[in-house]
Amino acid sequence: MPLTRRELLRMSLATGVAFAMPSWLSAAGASPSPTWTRRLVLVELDGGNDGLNTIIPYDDYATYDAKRPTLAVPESGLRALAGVPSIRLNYNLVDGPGSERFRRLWNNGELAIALGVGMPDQSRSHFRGIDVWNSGSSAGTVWNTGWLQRSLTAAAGITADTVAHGAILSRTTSNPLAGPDVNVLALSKSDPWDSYAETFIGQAEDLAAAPIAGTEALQHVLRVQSGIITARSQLDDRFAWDPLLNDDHGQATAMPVFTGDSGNALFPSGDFGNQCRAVAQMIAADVGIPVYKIHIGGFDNHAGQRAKHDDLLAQLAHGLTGLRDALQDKGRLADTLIMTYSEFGRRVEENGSAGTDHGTLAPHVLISDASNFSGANRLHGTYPSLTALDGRGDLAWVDGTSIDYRRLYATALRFLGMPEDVFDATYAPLTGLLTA
Amino acid sequence: MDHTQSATEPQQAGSSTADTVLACATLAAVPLVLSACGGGGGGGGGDGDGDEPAPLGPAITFTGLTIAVTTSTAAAVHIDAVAADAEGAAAFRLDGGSGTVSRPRDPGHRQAESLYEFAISAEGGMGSATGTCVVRINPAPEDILSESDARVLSLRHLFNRMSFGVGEEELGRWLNVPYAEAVQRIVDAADPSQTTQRPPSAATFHVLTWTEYDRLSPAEQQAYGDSKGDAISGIYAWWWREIIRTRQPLLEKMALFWHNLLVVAASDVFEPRAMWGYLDLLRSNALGSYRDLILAIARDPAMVMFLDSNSNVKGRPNENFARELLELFTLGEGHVYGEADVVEVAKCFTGWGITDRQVFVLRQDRHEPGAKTVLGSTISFADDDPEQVRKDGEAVIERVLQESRVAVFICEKLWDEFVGGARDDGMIAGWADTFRGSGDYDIRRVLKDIFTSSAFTAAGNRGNMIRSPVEYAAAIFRATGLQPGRYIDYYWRASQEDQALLNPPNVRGWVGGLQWISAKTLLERRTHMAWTGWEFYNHGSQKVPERLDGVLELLWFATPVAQRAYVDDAVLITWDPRGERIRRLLTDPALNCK
Repeated sequence: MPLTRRELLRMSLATGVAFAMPSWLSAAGASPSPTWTRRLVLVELDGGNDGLNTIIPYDDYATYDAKRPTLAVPESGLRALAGVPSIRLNYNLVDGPGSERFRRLWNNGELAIALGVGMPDQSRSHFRGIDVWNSGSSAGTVWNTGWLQRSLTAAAGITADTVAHGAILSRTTSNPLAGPDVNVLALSKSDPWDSYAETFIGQAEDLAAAPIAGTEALQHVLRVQSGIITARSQLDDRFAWDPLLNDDHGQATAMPVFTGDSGNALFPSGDFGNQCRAVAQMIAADVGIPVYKIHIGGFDNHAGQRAKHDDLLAQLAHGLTGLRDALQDKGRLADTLIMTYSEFGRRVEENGSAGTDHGTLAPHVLISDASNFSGANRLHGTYPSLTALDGRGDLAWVDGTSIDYRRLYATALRFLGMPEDVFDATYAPLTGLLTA
Repeated sequence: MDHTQSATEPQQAGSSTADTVLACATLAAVPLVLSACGGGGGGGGGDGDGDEPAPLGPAITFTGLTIAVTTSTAAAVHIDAVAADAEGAAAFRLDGGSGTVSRPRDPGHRQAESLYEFAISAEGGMGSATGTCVVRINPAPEDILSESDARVLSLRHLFNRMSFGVGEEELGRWLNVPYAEAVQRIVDAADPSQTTQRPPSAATFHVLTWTEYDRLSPAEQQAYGDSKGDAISGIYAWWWREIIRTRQPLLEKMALFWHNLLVVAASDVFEPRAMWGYLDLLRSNALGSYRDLILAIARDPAMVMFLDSNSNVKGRPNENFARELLELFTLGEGHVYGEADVVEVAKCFTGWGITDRQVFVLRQDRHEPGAKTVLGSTISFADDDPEQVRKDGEAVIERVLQESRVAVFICEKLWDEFVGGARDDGMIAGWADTFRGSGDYDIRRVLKDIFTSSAFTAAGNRGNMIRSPVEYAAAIFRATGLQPGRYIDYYWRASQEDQALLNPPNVRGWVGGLQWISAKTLLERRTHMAWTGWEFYNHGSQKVPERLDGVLELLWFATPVAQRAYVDDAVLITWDPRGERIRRLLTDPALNCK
């Protein structure tokens, strides 16, 4: 059998330079420090998710229904959750072959919901809005670094040489890890048969180790390059790729396989499902990356929203439930927190073209093992009033009642055991949502 | 070029700084004369002797260096290469002798010249001798190359920094022009009216009013939105094409500089006509007066939309523009102004807005009446003056421009753009005086100062900045003379590398510098350049220069030895040696530096 170019390249590498292991991943077989067994998966709902059609305010369904003559989810499409009569889930979050998705997670004690999340004076610009959410700043302030970058660089044991602090799948232009001294891997898929990890290995496979020399600028480039080479070696090791056993598409032979993962049974087909599977594989393979960001786009629906949004919610629930099941399958659910975010919610009243315009507050979900949640309170906050709106007809920020988005971040940082003082003030983790 | 100079006649030691000999011990009965020549860190690298020894240390590497030692009995001793580690300790091979480099006198240097003491011994017909000689070995190529080579290197640096890289033809046009005159002529010649193409469709995009828009059916509204997106993409492609093909690259470079200072994001504004107007404004004023530029940007419809000026009205001031004017456009955070000034400046600009057709308009009826106090000065025009709205806003800008801080602030940004590294406040203060002049803020004048300054021209500064994604891609095309198949592809590729042209990440623009390169962006750069190499190689209508190495050499500095070997090894690895070689050349890590 003739060797492919890729195999030739890989074999040439195998005889080449030996790569140093990063200290915090330690030598093969040794465990990383306990803190770093925990993982955060951020799920960006790109475009501004319509929270009102995702988690429906059932206490004031009449107002909701009246303000959305074509868009309101009808009674037949509402799904109740045990113990929380004030809200209903959109049926796309529950209905699906084989499981009840978010309702099953809720009944397992694995799903928590935060209502009315946002900030005062929220920007209604996609651009500015997501920038604020990624940086963790206040609405009127511009910070150049991401909230996770600040926490990671402040965390003990993390150095500029650390292989990879985070992995971003799919869309990479908005980034809560932005800033100096963190290594962020961009994992994209060039080939539907490849996994994200393999695509990364492929992108990096022919990088040659070079001595760190030249001007300061060039030395910086070469240091980053050296970090990539080490990360490549990590991914290679964890997935135990054997070039002689690959098929034509370079499928790794030791990629973790999850119970029930065939076709689209566990994960939805398409990009988002692939991202969920890839993250599950990397966490299951114990790749030493603490933070992952995945992305699902298409939420900016100013016209003809209903069908498009329903489909996105179905993908979201299918993918995240699949991710939960895969992690559970490998015993990693208790180590992992999954959390959604989005640049803003949408206006209460639908617009003239059966869509919604940019708004403010929105609900978000957190998923982990039940042991990480307090059973008593997994619904946090109260639904913002549909009648006491702000000047633009949006859900109004109410001091003391609305949930500042940075409290979700503080919750995640508490879960990861990382520094929380990375904002302009102290934001308390959501007590009762995750047991600290 | 052969750097070996085996002198057969004794030379006067230290007679010329063009030699690398500063001083040399004269040994008893054995007059040693050293002449040395080296390829240094600059450029070629590959043109030294064939059997270069492996570098001995990681920090400082000189290749192609030969020191010929001539004794009175003509027993020549050659030193093939010298390398020193960070402490300056090194050894070198000496045919017929041996020597060591003790330490550089200037251990804190970056890539500037260094003085090395050689303990050297030689044996010849008259016996052996030892001694010390001090040799200036450095990668400052002017000192060791012929004068024309030195000029190439100076011009190459100029074009790599003030422009987007350079090709052989463009460089050749300036080779016989003295450096300072070249700077003068390039800066003076830039003419915004000269473009390589007609304006994009966005220039004539028909703007619907909200009333007209609301009358459209949902399908028509969708189509209108789509046509906006297409027209805005057309602006991206237009600017990319201009950057790559322009004959006045300084102009586009400065337009990009102002874009990064006076940020407007197309994805936020999402109005093609206004975005084109904004880019046109930046280009038209790129090399004029900053006073004119700042006055114009305050009235620019895209800026009005981006910073919410339209909702800055009497009784309900929106401080967005006022804050950025002080913080990002003129004074900088923590300088001169306070929060109270932001409030007062916002009042002065109430009523500055746009019409439903996105034309700038001054609305006295939305203007906050009364006197305002800005930076301690009172701005007071009569409330019944129908021009009060205009006069208040313009008075703010005039007042702010009286602050000497403004010129310093802009010159700091120019330092970061063109020189990089730790700022020299003294030099910046000098530039700022030039810039401010008598209050006209002449951009051309200060640029001439900058490009002829010692900080800019210093050899040690070469190759010590990171190219932005736009600069990297544009440099490849400008050097090779090739063109992208589709310019818009490069918009998307650069955006994956975190520089979406006309869409900076936030109102502060791109941070740039070393931050351009992360694990993520470096891999994106490599992937995209590999695609470019593939396109060069496989879309046969364009001819890849046979001497791609030589052409790209105009763009790079100090390629690591191992990387050159890696490029040269392309032939060993793959079934497609030429394609692989092109790809490896285009992804040379040194190309990230300018």
